[in-house]
Amino acid sequence: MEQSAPMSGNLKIETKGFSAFYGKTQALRNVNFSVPEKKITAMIGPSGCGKSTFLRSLNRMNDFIPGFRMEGSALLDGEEIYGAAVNPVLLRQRVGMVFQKPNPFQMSIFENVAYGLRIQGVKSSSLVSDIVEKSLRAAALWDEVKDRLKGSAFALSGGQQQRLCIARALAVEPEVILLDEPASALDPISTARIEELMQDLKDRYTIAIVTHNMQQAARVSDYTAFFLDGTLVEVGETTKIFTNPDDSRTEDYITGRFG
Amino acid sequence: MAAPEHEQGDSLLSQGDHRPPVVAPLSFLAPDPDETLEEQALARSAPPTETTLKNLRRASHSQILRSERLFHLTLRLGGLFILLLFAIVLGVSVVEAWPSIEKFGWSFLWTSTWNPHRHIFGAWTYLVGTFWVTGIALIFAIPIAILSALFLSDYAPKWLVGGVSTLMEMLAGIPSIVFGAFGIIFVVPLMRDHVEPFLANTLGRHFDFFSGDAMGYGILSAGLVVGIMVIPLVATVTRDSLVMVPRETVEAAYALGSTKAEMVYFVKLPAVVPGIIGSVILGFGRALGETMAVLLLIGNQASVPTSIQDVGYTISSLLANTFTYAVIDPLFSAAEIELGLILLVISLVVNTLGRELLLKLMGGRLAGSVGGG
Amino acid sequence: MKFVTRTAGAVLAGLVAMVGVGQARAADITISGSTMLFPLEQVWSQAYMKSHPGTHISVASTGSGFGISNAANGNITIGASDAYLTRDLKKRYPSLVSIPVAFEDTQVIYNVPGIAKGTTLRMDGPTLARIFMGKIRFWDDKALRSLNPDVTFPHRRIKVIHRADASGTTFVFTDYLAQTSKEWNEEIGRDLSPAWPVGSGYNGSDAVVAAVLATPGAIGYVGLGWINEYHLDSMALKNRDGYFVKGTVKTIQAAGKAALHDPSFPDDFNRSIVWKLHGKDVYPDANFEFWMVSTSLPGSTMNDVKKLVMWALTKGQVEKYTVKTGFSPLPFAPLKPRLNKILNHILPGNTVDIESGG
Repeated sequence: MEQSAPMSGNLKIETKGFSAFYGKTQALRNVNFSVPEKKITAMIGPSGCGKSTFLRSLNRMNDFIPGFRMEGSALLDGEEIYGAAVNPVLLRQRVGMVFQKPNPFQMSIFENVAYGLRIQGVKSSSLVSDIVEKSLRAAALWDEVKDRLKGSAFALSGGQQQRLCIARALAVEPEVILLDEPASALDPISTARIEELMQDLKDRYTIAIVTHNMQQAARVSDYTAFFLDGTLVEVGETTKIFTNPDDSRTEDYITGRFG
Repeated sequence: MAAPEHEQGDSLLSQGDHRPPVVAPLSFLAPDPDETLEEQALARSAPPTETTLKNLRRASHSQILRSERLFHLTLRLGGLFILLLFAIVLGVSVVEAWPSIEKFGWSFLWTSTWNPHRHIFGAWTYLVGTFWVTGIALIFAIPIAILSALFLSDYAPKWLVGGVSTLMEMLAGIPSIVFGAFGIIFVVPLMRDHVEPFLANTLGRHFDFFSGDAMGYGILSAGLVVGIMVIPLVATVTRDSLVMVPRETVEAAYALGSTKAEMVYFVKLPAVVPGIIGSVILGFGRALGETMAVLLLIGNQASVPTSIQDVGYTISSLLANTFTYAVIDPLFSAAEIELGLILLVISLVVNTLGRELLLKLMGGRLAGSVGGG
Repeated sequence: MKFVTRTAGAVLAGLVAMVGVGQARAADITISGSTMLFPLEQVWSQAYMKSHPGTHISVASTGSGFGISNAANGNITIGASDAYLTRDLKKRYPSLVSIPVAFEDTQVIYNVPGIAKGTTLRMDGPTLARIFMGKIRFWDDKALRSLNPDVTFPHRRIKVIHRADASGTTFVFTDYLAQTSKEWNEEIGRDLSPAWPVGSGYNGSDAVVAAVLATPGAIGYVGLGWINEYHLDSMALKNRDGYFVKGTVKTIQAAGKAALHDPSFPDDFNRSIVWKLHGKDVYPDANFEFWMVSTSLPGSTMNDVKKLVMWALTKGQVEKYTVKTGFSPLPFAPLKPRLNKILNHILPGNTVDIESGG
């Protein structure tokens, strides 16, 4: 399938003829797609269209799913993500991820954010504290939790937990942040805060977000990709996709005729 | 029974009365004050003549109340029975132990003499023996149990998991006398001929605690065999809580660049600490009360062990060995029942402390899912 | 106390105990108590029920303590005990009458590497007491060497092995120690479950045998039945007259006869015979096994008991019952005068009559 990708700036991630399988089921067909650096790219589409599979393929989270298999090529800064020499652990340090459901660890707020640093062997406690504070500030959570850093992460509200998860992902200083429907479990106010946060972060990070919420995609993203039945139907600047899509299926979806 | 919201007509108006009856002593025996004579009469009114949905519906508020009440009553009787049973056990024990409690007072706890002939009874040697066996059992069992639980939950190939889990459950169900016999034919010779001489020649050169004269029987063998009995218990509960760690949590760890070992060690293990504590409490209870296997292996000698190779005596094995005889002497039997009471109190205290610790560790989360406590 | 005794007794003896009183049929006899007597009682009850249709005997093994207290409380017909009634127990259970039914003994066994199988070690009471008090700690101790000048002992720790459960074997064993050693008598005394100063304890004679055989340097004690079954070497114990005697059916019976011929021996049997008896062949560590009945039993039941006792003391004493289960037969003739008095006490007007049939 042909895709036009008139994207400006450097391409951080690029896929060529990327297909994915769960056992015998093909979840993605021949996707050619690029994620530009330091922009927000949204992926939309009806349930089961493959957008989450695509996102999770970018940091090899699908490796944990029995029977998962891919074909084609996915590149991060021109390097093969599925290359034989690539250690997925090191890859995931560069490509962070925030999930649909807030998933803090059974530890204190501080330790949640410090986790990534600890496993990377950062010993200096002053450095850890600095980075934790910086990450919590970046995730706009610092003021709310600075007095109870030692408290359990589970005592936070859902929205706060999700921002904590973002802070946790930021602390290891990834280059790319993948967001898998990060606001779908949150109330509107928390959702707004997360969206605000994404705008703050895009100066420094390449962001890819999967969302069910078309308004959200329209509000936050620079580029939008529309997936349907495992194929990438159309990708382009968000304003174009939402006002003047090339493909009639995109239009149907956006105008709410299906999905 | 259908949920109240499906009810219509008079039952809708009386939703407020669907709260559980107020718990008051014997209140369940009293007639329901809400039920008027008219309602009772209504409930007994003539059978309907046509079969319509309306006729099939439960007729009145009082009818619903009655069946509700019957159900509550049944449940409450069940609960009451447990309480009563506990009160009886406790009450009878205290009454029967009273001659000993009265005569020896608190000193019963730290007196190490136990001499039926001279009518002096003290719990100290049996308390120490009980704690040694329990301690050795737990020190031995917990690491192995946790490692095997981790192996089963995260590392073992699928085909192995089912088999090993079934084996674990079978192991947990084997009668303790079988473990005792295993201890005699396998553990005792192993300790006597290999482990104890080795300990005596290595650690024993520097610490008397490890030296001794290699009997095979003693607190070490008893503790190890009880440990073997505790392993399946701790491992099963720990594995169950490991499996219950949400996939999202595991994925979060991986997404932050954890290796599998880091994920397991830094994320999964802390998340199941309450489960492990719960299982250890269960294991503690098992080890504390284990009688037959200990009796066969510990050497049943009322002396305070000073070495891991020494023989000893636990409260439960003393009771099993001598209680039938103690009954001919009121003070003797009172002292033995007091020992039983002490065992009861210890397990109550440990359970309570464990539950408190659990609640504290669980933080904002509910402690309900964790076994034990 | 009463409550627990009664409840626990009922639970332990189970239906056996409950059937005992009140709703018993004319010829229902329940026996429970001594674990030592239990095997003998089992073979007896089977043989007796075969030859006496209409009589039903239930046997349970609950320990001598429960046997005594349940018999006194009337929960069971007969309480089996390894020990006679001490002054204390007689005071507590004044209604109990002791009937001797068999003869038991205790022998000292050992496992000393380097001493050839078949060697008979000689032992006296004071030395044995010091070993079991932990005061003699090595096999080549002077006391042991002077008792056995022909034996070369290894320098090896003595490992004392005793019973952990309350047991008649222990009672007879500690009786010998208490009668021969002043320090043992003062510090520990005789008891079914004494406060052992050293060693390690095992539940049941089988476990004692196993532990002695498995532990180099061990010393322990069991009854004749175990010696025969496992072909164990037992020690020759010093008797009152200074002879070293090994326990055999013959020497144990000699002790029984000597006791029964001793006019000072009480008619109610409530005295130890250990160490009291004279004679070259008398084994010094033996005692009677007892059935205890309460005088408050109804007459008809008492009649059934009497019949059973008469059978047990005559036909029941053959070796296939007694020796096979570890006891020495009681000689009937010297027993008769005292037995007459006992029967007259429990069933006034009755004396020994041996039924011809059965």
